[in-house]
Amino acid sequence: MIDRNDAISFLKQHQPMPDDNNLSKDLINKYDDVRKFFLANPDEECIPLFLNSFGERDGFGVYQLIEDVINKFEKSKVLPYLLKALKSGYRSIRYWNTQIAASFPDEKLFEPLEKLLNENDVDIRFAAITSIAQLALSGIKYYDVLDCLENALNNETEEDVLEFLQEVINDIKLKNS
Amino acid sequence: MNYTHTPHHVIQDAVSSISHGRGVTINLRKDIHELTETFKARRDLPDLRQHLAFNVKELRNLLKNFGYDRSTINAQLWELVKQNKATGNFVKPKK
Repeated sequence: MIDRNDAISFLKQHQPMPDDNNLSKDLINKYDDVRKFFLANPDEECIPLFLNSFGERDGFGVYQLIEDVINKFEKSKVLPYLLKALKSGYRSIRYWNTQIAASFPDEKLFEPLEKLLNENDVDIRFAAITSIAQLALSGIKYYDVLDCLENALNNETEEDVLEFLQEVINDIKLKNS
Repeated sequence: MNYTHTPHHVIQDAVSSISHGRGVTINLRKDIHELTETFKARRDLPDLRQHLAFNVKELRNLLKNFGYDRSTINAQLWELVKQNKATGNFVKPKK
């Protein structure tokens, strides 16, 4: 049975977790136990630790469930750590935090998300499109969001990202009409 | 946003040659996602075709057990197979 100290200590030791190619069954099981512990016992100290825990790939399907833990907290508690994690030196941390940003729409996210729209990494660009669109869909910086997505449309070279950008722009315009 | 469901990768991300964001997924209830054999584990099989076959079989059983009707299951799984084939990673080797 895991307790708070074990859980915090585990996360502190895994900033971030190893990539999936080097991720053992025991380690991901423990990580999932820690996730379940904080899901049942929300504790603000886990916020930055989870946000900086993501290794490369998806932690065998566990990383996508971390959002449920983060969603337990108010935006004001999450946002400062989220803003920092979006600038992480680890690609995997920027990627997963860009996804999580969609759940916490706030005008402070506009600038970092706009930068992430220009990342070389396609996955991060996809996630940034979703999260920045969520700002406009939440009534935040509507025209700025539309402008930056239209700029991205002009600069994008990948066909599937272009299609997604166009869909999202249409969706935002439709919801505002 | 749908907080009850999550994108479940088929085939699992850890063995895919495609990046996480571009991988083929089915939007699955989180409790079903957690019951799959690829949750918290890497499935070791010799090739992607076998991974896909195993995933489809597993999802068919799980979705059936959770009360989804056969036509919905068939349509969703057919779409998964179609999208995986469209990635070009499932071309049969020439004899």
